[in-house]
Amino acid sequence: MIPIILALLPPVALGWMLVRLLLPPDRKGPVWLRWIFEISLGAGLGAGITSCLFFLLLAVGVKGRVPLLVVELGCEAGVLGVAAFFLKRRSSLSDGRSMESSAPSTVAAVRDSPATGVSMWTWLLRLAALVALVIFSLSCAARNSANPAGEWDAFTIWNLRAKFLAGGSESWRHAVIETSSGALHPTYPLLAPSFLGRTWLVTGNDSPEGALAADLLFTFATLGLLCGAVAVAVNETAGLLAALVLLASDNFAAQSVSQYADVPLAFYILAVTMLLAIAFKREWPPPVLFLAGVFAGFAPWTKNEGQPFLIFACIVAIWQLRKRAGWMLLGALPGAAVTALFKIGFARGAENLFPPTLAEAASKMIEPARWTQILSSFGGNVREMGVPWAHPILLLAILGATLGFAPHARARLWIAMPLAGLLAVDFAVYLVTMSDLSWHLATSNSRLIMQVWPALLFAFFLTLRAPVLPQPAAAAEDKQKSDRRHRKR
Amino acid sequence: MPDPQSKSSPERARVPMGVAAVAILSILGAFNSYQVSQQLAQSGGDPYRVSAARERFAAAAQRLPPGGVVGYISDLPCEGCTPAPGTTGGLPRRQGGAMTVGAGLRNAGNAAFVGARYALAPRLVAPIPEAPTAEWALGNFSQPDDFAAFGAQSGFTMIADLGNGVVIYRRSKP
Repeated sequence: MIPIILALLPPVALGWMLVRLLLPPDRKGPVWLRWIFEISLGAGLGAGITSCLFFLLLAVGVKGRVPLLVVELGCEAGVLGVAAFFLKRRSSLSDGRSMESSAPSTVAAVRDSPATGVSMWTWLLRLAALVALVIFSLSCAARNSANPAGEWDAFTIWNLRAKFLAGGSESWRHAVIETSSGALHPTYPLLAPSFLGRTWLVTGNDSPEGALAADLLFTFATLGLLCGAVAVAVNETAGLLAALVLLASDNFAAQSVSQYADVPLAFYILAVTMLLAIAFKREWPPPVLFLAGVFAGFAPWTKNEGQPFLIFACIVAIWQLRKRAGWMLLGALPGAAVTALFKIGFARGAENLFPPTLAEAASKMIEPARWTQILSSFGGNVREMGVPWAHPILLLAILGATLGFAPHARARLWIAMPLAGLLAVDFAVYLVTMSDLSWHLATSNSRLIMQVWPALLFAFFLTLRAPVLPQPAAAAEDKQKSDRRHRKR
Repeated sequence: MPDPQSKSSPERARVPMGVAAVAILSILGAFNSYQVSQQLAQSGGDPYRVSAARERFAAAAQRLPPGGVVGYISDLPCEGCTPAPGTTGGLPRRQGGAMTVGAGLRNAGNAAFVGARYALAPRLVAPIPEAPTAEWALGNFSQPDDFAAFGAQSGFTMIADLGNGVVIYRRSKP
């Protein structure tokens, strides 16, 4: 297990350093939550970057562990140098100014500032989140023992292609070319196989533990990112509640160790959604927009569903930002370019998903039975996200009823538009699919819902009033003083 | 609109009550999910024997070249081994979120092929008709038989019988 952890360290470190460099530090909330937020975001960023690097090295004929590590560590040294320069500059620009800029500007922020102390209620909520996390981890272990090599698509598509990629110059093209017995779906994007292939190459062993670790990296990064992002955007209580609802979502648990690419895509969709929300709150700083773009670019590199998501995210960015959207488009360029290079330059194979003629597509689209079947499948899969008495929608309804919605909730709904767009495209694909509709729905619908679920949770918590738990008397006094100081300022 | 969090005591109690309810129900929901996972694990892990295949073909993996195409010879019919482009051929398909154990499996030959293919990757394991130039071939047998005769039918000579139905062949010299 130690070689696997060591193999995963360079991507996580690279991503974390970039996040520290591009995302201005937020001093709100407890330090441990900020660390979880930054490391989770960095893990996905590093995985995306190293998967691109690994594929590009293969594409130009460079193979082997040593050149790969030299390139990765070289990138890290470069980022470290730039980060050191900027961090030094930032600290020399006086702490006072940065404190002022990151001073809590909302009531929620003041409520969560360290001066207010931590109430017993918060400790209980932390304990509850920890208990749910332990149960979730046990659930992951049980599911992994049921399918140690992942589920069907893992050993016939994703991980099989990772093995081909890790095999080097002789075999990597089996992952991208349609052969009768090679990898199925050779045109599927390569982020997950490339990241796993890179991890296997570094460890020197294509072990199932390596595949599991790469999968769990995204699972826990998604969880950590949701908790941290909601904590940053709202407050710690909301962050912990968001994590609890995700831990209670059956569809997330079912995909946690499937070793498919749906959880990584869910991670990138969440990252884009929450970075856009943070950028909105901080009046669109270019580095945050650039970072949102980078994550948006990784979405089509992860799964084909990422293509419409990228388009919708860019449309929303242009609509909201006008000229500043250029930063986001610039950030999306690397991931989109690598995807285009792969699709146009290397992938060979047909998916046969869409009808050959417009007339055939139209005839499928006007069949009422298909509409009802798809709607019923979406409904059924949402219903199966949890047991009725602890269903995630019920949990959200309880929170909505007890906390109420923020006065400006409607103004934040644009955050969810790329998610709605992606679901609409998924629906349209089902309408025209050439595959047997029942089979297509049964094998993919729950995963498509899961792809947007963490981001939908984030968007929901953004529209709620910030939950405020009762505080101990001393802390409440501190809070009043803090409020007064803030008002004077 | 009144702020439900800054009003009278009963209203202020609503927030911790709601938060507590969500926390407790979430833990119970996660526990229910854990029970489902445990049932899956207890119903028999590794339904396609993919992990078992890794152990079974470990010796073959050591003796075969590390890359390239390897022919596949078996006594088990494998109707899904050569799927048409864009289809899953005869390979089993998932039902819902979980695999259907056995029900979707058209024959054991498909599962045996999938396991062998995954265990021996990054070599590309392909049925002999699809690998006309393969120098090496893997034999995957369900029961004792005349393995050499199986290979000879396809123009291969048996190099090693690794036991447990695993055989290595090399293309016969003309």
